[in-house]
Amino acid sequence: MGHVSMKSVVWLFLTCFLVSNAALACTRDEDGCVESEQFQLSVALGAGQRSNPLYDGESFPMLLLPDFSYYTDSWFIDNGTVGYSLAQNDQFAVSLVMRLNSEKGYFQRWFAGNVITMNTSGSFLPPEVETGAEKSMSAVSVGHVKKRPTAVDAGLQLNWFGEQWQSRLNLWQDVNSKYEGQNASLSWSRFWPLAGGQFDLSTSLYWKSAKLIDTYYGVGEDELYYLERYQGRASWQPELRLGWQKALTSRWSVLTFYRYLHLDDAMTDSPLVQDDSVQTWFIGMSYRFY
Amino acid sequence: MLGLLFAGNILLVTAQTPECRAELCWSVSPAFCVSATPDQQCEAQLNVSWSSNKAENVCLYFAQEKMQCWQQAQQGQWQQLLSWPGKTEVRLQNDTQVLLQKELIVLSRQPEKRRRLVAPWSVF
Repeated sequence: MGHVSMKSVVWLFLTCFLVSNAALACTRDEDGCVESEQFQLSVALGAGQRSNPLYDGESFPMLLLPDFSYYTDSWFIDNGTVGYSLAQNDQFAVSLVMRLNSEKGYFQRWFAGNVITMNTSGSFLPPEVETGAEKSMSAVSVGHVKKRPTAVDAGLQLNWFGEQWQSRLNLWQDVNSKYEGQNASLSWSRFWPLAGGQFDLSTSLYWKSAKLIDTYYGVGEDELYYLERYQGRASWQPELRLGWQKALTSRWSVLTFYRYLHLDDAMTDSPLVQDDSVQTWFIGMSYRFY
Repeated sequence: MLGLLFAGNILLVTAQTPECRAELCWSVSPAFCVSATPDQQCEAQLNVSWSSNKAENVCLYFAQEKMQCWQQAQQGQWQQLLSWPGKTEVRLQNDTQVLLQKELIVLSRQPEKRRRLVAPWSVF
């Protein structure tokens, strides 16, 4: 899945769908719809955290959670993803997209991909630190390896929309040559009305190239001599997400979700990785500003 | 000069000023209409009247459909109750060329909405 095949896919969809470039139907006042050229910002205040699978990795506290977007007819910025929709109709959209790769977030808590939380958050949820007795040379602390790079991903995104479901395919390529690899994801979400709110279930499958895994979770010859070496392999990571949201007024909502990301052997074989999952949960109240 | 008419949920804006090309002039109304929601069609009686200093063989088209033709006439009038979804073209043409054309526009009082392409609350 290099540059060449990515380009071919872009051109294929350009050819097929540019002829049907009509706005996505969003006529009812439903969730998942935004007004064109209107900045949307909601902030949720509550309790939550994202675990860190690395040895000595600090879990990421989530007390203040932003949700923002701005869409024009073609351009959009949505929660850290910048995109340009090449074609869109009622059931389908194809977009060129760009974002910061989130992998560095496990190595550096205040990475831009982990933006905006309270500075005092460390005192609320102390980081999970392993005791020294459990460590051996085969367990490499995140503090002992070199800084991991900030990579920018760009690629293609396809969205499908159904009555009560939607699906998304992302193909990403590292464009600033930090890990010189690719990653991809396919996700499917379904929505149900539940207890006066909306329940959603999403399943995703992530694929990360060997070069990506090696750059972030590999331990190469340039690291400290006494650390166990590891050369990364391509990784498949399935994810399940459950969420429930209920509007209380036009601005206030209850928001809760739980996400379980499973890490395969390509990840857990790394001496940096302690856990075979990343778990994220949040419960709180959201307020819509715009 | 513009006139405003209300028909149910739809606001119709009628243009009275004729538009001309060479010796041929016409007026089409309503020029555009404002609907309550983006998916609502514009439903109105479309009026077209034309006149020319010389006798013409012309046909009137609404979208791609031929509505009426006139042979060696110096003027004509036509009206019909129609509904149209968005931008729709009306034109007057002879055998060889389009003489006059106008785009009927449907505007919506409700801002157009788009589907979000990225999952909400997905910053982290």
